[in-house]
Order: sequence, then C-alpha cells, then structure tokens
Amino acid sequence: MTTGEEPLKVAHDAVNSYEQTVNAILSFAAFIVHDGNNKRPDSEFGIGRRMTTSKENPIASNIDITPDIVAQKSGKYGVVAEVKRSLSKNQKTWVKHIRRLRKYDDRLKGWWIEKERIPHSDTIFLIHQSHERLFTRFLEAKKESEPELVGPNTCVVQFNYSEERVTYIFFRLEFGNLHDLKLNQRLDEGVSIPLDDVRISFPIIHFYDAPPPMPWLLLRLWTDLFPAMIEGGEWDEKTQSTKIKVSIPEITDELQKAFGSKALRHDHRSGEFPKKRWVREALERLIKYKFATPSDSEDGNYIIYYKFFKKGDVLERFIKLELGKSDVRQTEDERQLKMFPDLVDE
Amino acid sequence: MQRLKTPQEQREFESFINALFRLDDYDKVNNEINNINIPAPYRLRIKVLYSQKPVSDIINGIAGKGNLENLKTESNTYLYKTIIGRDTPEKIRVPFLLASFRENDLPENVQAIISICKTNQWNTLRRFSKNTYPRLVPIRLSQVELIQCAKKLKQMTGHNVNVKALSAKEAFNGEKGEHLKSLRVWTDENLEKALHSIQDRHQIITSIDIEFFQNIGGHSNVLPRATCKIRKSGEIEVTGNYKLAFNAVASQIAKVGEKKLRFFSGRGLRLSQYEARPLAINFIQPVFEKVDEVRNFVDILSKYPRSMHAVVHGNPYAHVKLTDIYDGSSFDVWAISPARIALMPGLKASEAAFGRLVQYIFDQFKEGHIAEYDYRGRTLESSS
Repeated sequence: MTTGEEPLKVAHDAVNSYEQTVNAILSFAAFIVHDGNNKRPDSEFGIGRRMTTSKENPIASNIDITPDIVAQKSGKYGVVAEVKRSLSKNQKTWVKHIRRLRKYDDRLKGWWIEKERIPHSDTIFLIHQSHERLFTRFLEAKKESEPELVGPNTCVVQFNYSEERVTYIFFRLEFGNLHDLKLNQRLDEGVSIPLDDVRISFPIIHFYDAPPPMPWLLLRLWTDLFPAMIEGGEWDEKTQSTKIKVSIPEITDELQKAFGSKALRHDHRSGEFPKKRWVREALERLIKYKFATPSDSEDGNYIIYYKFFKKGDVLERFIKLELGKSDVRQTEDERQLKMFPDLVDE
Repeated sequence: MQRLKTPQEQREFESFINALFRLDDYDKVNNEINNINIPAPYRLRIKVLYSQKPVSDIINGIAGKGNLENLKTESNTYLYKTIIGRDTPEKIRVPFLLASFRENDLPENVQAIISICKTNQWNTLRRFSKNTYPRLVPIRLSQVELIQCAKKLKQMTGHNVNVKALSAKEAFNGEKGEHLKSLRVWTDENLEKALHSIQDRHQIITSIDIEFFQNIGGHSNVLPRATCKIRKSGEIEVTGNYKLAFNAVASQIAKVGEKKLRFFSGRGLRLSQYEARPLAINFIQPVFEKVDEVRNFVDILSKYPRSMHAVVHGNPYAHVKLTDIYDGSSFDVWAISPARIALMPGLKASEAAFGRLVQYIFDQFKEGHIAEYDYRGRTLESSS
C-alpha cells in the first residue's frame, strides 16, 4: 500500500467500523429480546434511549443518560450497554468509559414497565475483541485500586466478526456476571449470531445514536434520499443538474423513518438518530464541495444541485473529498461531527 | 417459406401491411394478421411490455409527438418512423398493433406490440421501447421462467411441442481460463428431452425455437401449425398460426412477467410507509463459499450499467449500494449468507428497477429463486 492509499483505507475502515457497530448493537439487542424463535413476552429494546439515573447515583444523580443499547428481556430483567468498536491508544482516556459505566450501573428509570424501574439489570461494556483484553485488565486494575469506580453489576462482553463460511457476530462474556443465569451461561460459553438473521430482522437500520463518519451520511443522502426527490426538482440548464430544495427537519425526519430511530418502536424516551445537527453538518459539507447552496429565501433551507456520479465509487468519492480537509483528525469537539468518530478520543 | 427478393416486391408487401394496420377495427386487424402468409425476410414479431399505468396510455401519450403517430385509434395501431444509417440514410416506417391480453384475464398494464417487419425495422421498434424505459418496461424472462413457459405450452394447447433450435451460452476452458461461448443448436427433440440436455450441459439459454404440432388421437401432424422463437427479452418471432402463438406463448410471457413485476412493486420505503420489504435471491447450492466468489460478485455489481455504485464492504461479505440512474431507485445489496443475496430497497425502488437489477444478477452472476427476505421466505412462484 502506498502512503496515498493509507488515509483512504483508514477512512474506509471507519465507515466499516460504524456499520459493524450498528450490526453489533442490533444483534446484541436481538440476543436479549429474542429466544431464537420468537420475541420474548414483555421484551423491548431501544438505541440511545433516554434513561434517568437515581438519586443515589455516585456519578450523577437524577440526570438523563442515553446508553447505546437498552434491552429489556422481560418485566423483571434488562441490560444497558455501551458499544465500542475501537478505543484510543491513550489508556488515560479509558477512565471516562469506566465512569460512564458506573453512571449506568444504577436503578435506572425508563424501562417499558409500569413506574419504569426494573427489578434487576446489568450494565455491559460491549467492546470489539481487538481491544477487549487490554480494557478488561485496565478495568480489573481500577477495581482493585478504586473499587467505588466499578459498579456491582458491570460486565464486559467482547464481540467479533467471523470470517468463516457464514458471516456472524460472536459475543462472549469476559468480565462480571449477569443476573439472568440463562443469558449468563450462554454468553459465558459464547454466542454466535448470523449477520443474515440480524439483517432479516432489521433490514434498513443504518445509523445509531453516535455520529457516523461523514462519508457514510453523505453516501446515504446522495445515493438514496436525493435520487428519490428528483421528480420534485427542477432542471438547471446552467449547472446541468437538478435543483432540489431541502430542509433540515424534513430530511432528518425521513432519514429517521427510513434508516434510523423511527424505523424502530418509538415512544417519548426513544433516542433520535440521525440528528438534525449531523444533517446540517452534511449539508454544509455539500456547500463546501459545491453540490449545494443555501436557499435564496433565507428560510434555512438548502438547494442541492444534484447529478448522478456515473463513474467511480460514490463512497470513495466522498472519502476523497473529506480527506481534502486539514482538520479532520485534530478536532476534539464532541458536538461536531467527525470524520472518524471512533478513532478520536471522546 | 417464400422470400421476397426484389425491392419492388418488398415495397408492395409493405404497402399491403400498412393497409392491414390501417383497418378500422381491432378484431379485423387481428384476424387479418392471422390469415396472411408472411414471406422472408419479414417476420411476425411480438414484444410484451409492462407499465404502472395501462400501456396504451403511455403509447398514446407519446403518439403525435416525435416519431410515433396513431394509424387508427379505434384499432390501436401506430406507425413508427425514423431514419437509420449515417452514410446511406434509410427511412424506416414500421406499423404496429398494440394488443391487450384482456381475453387472457390480464390487466391493461401489460400489453404487446405486434408488427410484421424486417429485422432492421424491428430493431428500431426495440430502440423506441428502450428509450421509453422506465415508463414502458420490457418483460425479461429468467431461464427458469423461459423453460416453464415452454413446458406449459404443451398442456395449454394440447399440441405436441418440439424444440427446433436454441441459442445458448456454454462455459468452456480456454487457454486463459473459463469463458462463455455462444452456440446455436438445431434439434428435433421433444421438449422434455431438450430441457434435460440443457440442464445437463449447464447451458444458459438466450432463446428457444419451438414448434407446435397438431395432435389428434395420439397422431401428430408432420407439419407444424406454428413455430415460435422465444427470447429471454420477452420477444417472440412467429411463423404460422399467429393466434396460437399469441394466446399460448405471448400470454404466458405476459402472465409470468406481470406476476413478477407486481411482486417487485410497492417496495420502496416511501411507498411502503417506511416498512422494509426486502427481497432475496436464493440459490440451491452455496455461491459465496470462497472470498473470490464474493469479490467476483462485488466486481459484477460495480459494473452494473446505468447506475451509481458504492462498495461499503467487499470481504468477507459484500455490501454494495446501487442507485438506478433511470429513475433514482436505490438498493442495498448484501451477500452475507453462502446461498443468498439480499436486496434491500431504498426510499424509492420501482418494480422496473428491481426487475432490471435481478435480471442483471441472473445474467451476469447466477440465476436463483426470488423470495421475500424474511423468516417465512414466501417465493415469487407461490405469490398470487
């Protein structure tokens, strides 16, 4: 690989990583709520669901938190999980993951039952196999040195993709024990969930509640949403493109219905993704790349100058455009959409 | 078959055909087509078309503008005019009848263009049909559908059906690896025997010529009543009894095509109120056991004509995003199971785009069985 190709590969890996995280979230949630044949009675799950900590929470009491996964197996048991496909090499930054887990390891409010509090729950750090061992050692050391930093119901589960004949996602419990003995035993032995099953159950979910790499969002807009809007557009002779007027709330709503939060069961605590600010950022990028302009009427809308890219790979095209940015990997601002969110310290 | 040799004879024949298509009654046109002897190089040709609206609405919407004009509104006949060739331009005028399958209980959104013309004239009609895509969608048949159509003919018509010839592609090992060679095979085998031989040799059929022989008390006539060349592109060339060919062969193609495109319809997320309605192409044997096979599939999808593509993942499983440039339909194509391809429709996914993509995968990769991508796996064949 030449030096020029490496950033391209890194960027492509970031897109893959995001997609694999989505798959891991969906398959782990499915593992909790399905018994292999049917959905369990009273089971539910949410991605980025808004839960509320108790007043006894040692990190932050009575605040709203949004774990990546909240999965209720029954009216008596559920798990909250945070998912990490990759981690920073700087172990000092790992403490904040442990603090977050401690915050989640609580009698949270927001379950799908009356009074919203469940009798038993566990808090799981779902981490890719490549980082799991080091993180678990780090967690064990912290438990020794600062016992109050690790909650009583905290577990670590590793996940990995098989590269065998059938593509599946493998999960195994590496730290702690789950209250639910059956789930505990299965996870302790290791569970393989075929990716095919995950996609049969959730064919169109492409986002979760963390910002995607920018090329991933641009790809979805350019190859899916805007082509479906061409009929309502207006041909522009000067630019030889179709002018499509778009608004951030409308686009966000459609992306959520089609590929995000609203394609799952929705209530007042449900997470919302993709978020408006991600979409705004994507449209600003399109302005930068001269594929869009702000609307003349100052209504906060945008005009897309749409053309089909007939040659080359569209994802690669957006990655290359993004690589033209100089500040891509330096930004530390969590509120900003980063090109490689998983590779940047949170 | 008689052949018209001189330009004068051909002009006279074309004038006669024009007069036929100018008859002022649909049934009269149909009857006269059935009665005439058609000399070479002319052929009776049929092309089955599908549309979201009645096909006649689309054709009438185009007629009067550009190269297409109405010949007789009451007869559903039209004249297509164009000029072909740059060095020696030739004026082409092809009359055609737009025939419905009402008598075969099929809706008006599947109809057929019927013409009596030479090959170069027919090719201009083909181009006209191509240029109206995706408003008019050609019925494309898979090999299985083509064979099923042929099999049903014997039982439908009560005739003995023989395979006269077939055009196919067959794999062979050359110096630079495996290639496909085109072949034309003449035979007089009965249908079942010919189909077995096709399967044994793993041939990919592009067209099949079949002959219908009248059968009375177990005795078969030695002269065929009709000969039909059926192409996978949903086109038929007929020699002999036109009505037999139309009611048996064309209506069968229309039925199979209409059912398939109806199965593909309403799956775009906007139309389905954001309820996912993905499809699967299932294979009897695994097709993605080796990484090379996944790579080959990704490579094929990357070359899908008239599309935008993005390879999200290519190894060990495939996830490719495709957008159809004709109408903006989009699909996420996944190969994550050894014996299955999943096609997830995007916000817009017309039945025409679904059909084009499936046929491309069948032609360029491997033919499989279409079904819902869910745990029940209802198949196209079992759909009503």
